[in-house]
Amino acid sequence: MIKSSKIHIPPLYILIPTIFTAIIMILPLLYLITRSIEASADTWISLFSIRSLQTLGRSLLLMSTVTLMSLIIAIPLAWCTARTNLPMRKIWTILVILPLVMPSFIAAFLFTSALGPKGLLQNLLEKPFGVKELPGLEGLIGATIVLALLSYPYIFLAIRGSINNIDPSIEESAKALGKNSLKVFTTITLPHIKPALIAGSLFVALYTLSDFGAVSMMRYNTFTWTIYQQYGSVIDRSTSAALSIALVSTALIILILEQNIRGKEKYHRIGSGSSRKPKIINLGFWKYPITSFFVLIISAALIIPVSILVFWLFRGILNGESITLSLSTVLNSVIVSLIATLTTALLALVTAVKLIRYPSIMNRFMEPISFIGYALPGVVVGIALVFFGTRFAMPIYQSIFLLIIGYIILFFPVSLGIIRSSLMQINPRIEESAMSLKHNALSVLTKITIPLIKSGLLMSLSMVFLLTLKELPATLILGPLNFHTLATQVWSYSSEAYFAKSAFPSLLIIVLSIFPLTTIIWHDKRIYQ
Amino acid sequence: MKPYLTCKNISKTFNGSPAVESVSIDLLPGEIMSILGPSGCGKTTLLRLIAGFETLDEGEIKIENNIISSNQTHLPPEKRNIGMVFQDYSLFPHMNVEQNITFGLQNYNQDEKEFRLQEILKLIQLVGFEKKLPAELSGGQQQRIALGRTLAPKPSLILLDEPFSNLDAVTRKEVMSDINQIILESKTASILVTHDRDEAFSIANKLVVMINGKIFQMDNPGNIYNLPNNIEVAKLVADCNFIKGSIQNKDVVTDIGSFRYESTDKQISDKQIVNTLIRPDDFITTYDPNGSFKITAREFHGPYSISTVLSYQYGFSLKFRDQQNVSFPIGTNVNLIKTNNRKLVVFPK
Repeated sequence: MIKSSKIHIPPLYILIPTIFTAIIMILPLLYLITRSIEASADTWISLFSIRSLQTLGRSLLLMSTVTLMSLIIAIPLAWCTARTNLPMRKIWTILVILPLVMPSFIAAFLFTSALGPKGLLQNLLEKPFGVKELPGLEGLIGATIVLALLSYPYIFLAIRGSINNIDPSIEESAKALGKNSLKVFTTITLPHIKPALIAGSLFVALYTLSDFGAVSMMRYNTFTWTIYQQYGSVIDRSTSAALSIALVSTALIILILEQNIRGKEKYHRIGSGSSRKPKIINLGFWKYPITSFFVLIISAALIIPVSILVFWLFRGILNGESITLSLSTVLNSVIVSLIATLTTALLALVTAVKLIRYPSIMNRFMEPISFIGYALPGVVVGIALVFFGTRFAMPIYQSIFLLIIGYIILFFPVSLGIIRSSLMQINPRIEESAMSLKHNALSVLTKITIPLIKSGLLMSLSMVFLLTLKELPATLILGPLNFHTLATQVWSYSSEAYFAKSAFPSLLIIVLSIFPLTTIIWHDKRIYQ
Repeated sequence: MKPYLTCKNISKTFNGSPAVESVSIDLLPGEIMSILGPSGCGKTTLLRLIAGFETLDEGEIKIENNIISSNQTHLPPEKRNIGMVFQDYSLFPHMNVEQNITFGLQNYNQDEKEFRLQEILKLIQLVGFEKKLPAELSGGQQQRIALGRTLAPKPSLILLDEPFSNLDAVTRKEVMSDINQIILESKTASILVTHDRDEAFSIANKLVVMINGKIFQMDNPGNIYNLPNNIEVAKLVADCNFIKGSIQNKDVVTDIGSFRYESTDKQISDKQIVNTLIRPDDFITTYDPNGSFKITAREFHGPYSISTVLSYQYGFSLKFRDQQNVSFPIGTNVNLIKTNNRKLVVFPK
């Protein structure tokens, strides 16, 4: 039994950043609440209008279709790479995660313009087949396909470890009782991976609910897109605040529901698992259709989009289009992402240390506060901080500082989740040994704790860098005037249909994302098992 | 001699349930103390209070007359000059042996560090292991390094929390005698906490028996073994049988005979009914076809065997150690003969 040490009050370098984090994490919610209190009766009536309810309906519908489709893609991928003799399964394991580098607005833009009524595909088909126009891919179907192709890796990552952890003897005894493979999968394997499935699905559901890029490119009026339009067009911003409240409430309800389901399902979890490797299933003839499925998914999610970008770029260069990209845009993206990433990791590290090593009443408030961030979409955080800046912090309004705070609010929960779970794996006795060897708390933190959670820290840094680089709505809203990042550049070029011009920054985002992704793959035990 | 460490009436409660209740102990400089108790008796908490990893609720802990813990003051662990060795070794996995051992030597210069490192490696007999990582070493080696790491900065007190319980039976014996040797050579005051009576007896000058957060007895190991305070202590420090007896004058009269008795309880009076402690080596069995006892079972323990002996007349069973090379078959009728003139210990019923 490992008891956490409960010695003294946390030192100030732990306490102050934790309180700072708590404050900035509740800022958006505070704004929404004060704004809605100020809102006129009309605003509230409009919130319950048919139009708003339709927006809610569309958001929930898209959330469901994306989550469902992601599950349909991720489950077979995870199971086949973990438990069958699929050819090249180590390589597939890495390949199927790669779509994480693709921002949703780029993918959506590529889908609408390449597969649209007069797009690239139609061009290719016109000469041999005489196809004059293709049916549009906009709306629900397009948004579902794009978002599912980009978000299934989250579910894949969540369930892979848990598939590997199943005690093979349970499956074997089910087989011995005369169940066939499919029956074993549905009655034994699926229930076992259920907690991981729920966690992964929740992430995808919330990601979809907060997605701005794909739905706006696909002209599918969900909450985020409506809020952004309201924000841009109306002087009275309480409507967008009211809509934001509705959106955040929806997300919070889903989050709370998930917590309740997961709480009851805890007994499904199996500890460190068995040392015996699960049996590898021989696919036989099935390896051909399954490999084709893998190829299809990777092509649609990664290879074709990247190829189109490269094609556009070269076509643009050959046509003599000017595709210059100012160096400052690239630097803005990289520097802002780096600052946000490092700050977030630092705050998450300190908060995790506070939560795990210094139990107190304050932690009861910190837990839900750090958790709320998952339910805050970029659009909402952006609008909330603009309000905060114009009212209370004029000096930092329209500055990179406010933008970075926005990124921290958005990605702190992810970072905390990763760092916290690696911190929990350290035996507190190791830190106590260091203390009894006359090292003070700061020295223990830097010489023992941080080196031991290096892997988790790197994972967290990579994940946040990846997410920040792709972030669009908060950047659009919070970025200072004439401040461009790669993401906003792609956004403005693509809304004016400059294909070649948008291809270059898009490719840069993807290339820059490869470094953090490699680190994630390298350090994630769920992948190397 | 003045005590080095004094714990006076210290108490600690976790979520309403007391872990340590009004415990007082003294430790002289260089003294080696064992705290023996069943798991969950609060002995690890007591150690953690002394080390400074927990704050206490009541009482005070003093080192050479300076208060280090009370309900008002708490000197942080890194300022106490107390070393601690944990059950699971807790070596720093990302550092090699040399880095682990010199971790507590931050005030030493490079030469002093190197000198002390070699001294320690010699002491723990692991010269040449400087560059090995903890994961490359056996459990016994890891525990010796953990001890070396603790000894390196020359603490004035070493606390050992069940240091042998993660080792297998064979290594445990070896490492135990190694570590006892190292501690004796270092002449450092030490407190060893364990639930194993052999470990507790093997090194201690002073034995403390702790049950349910309280100290039941504190004395030298021999005294506690020979004259335990009560039944719980007796059971912890040795295998034992209990039979009913009644006091008559200076004797205790039992179903297996009358014997001289002793007790720490001064209240015991004539005619009182008592529990009589019978050790497995207090009696031997002798062959007697008309004996009033029968051998019903035997446990083989290697160097000796334990026979279970049933009394025909009274229906109770007792366990006795067989004489060397004499093991009667199960079912043999026997009689009991007292082998020593030790007084039997009795406890009020």
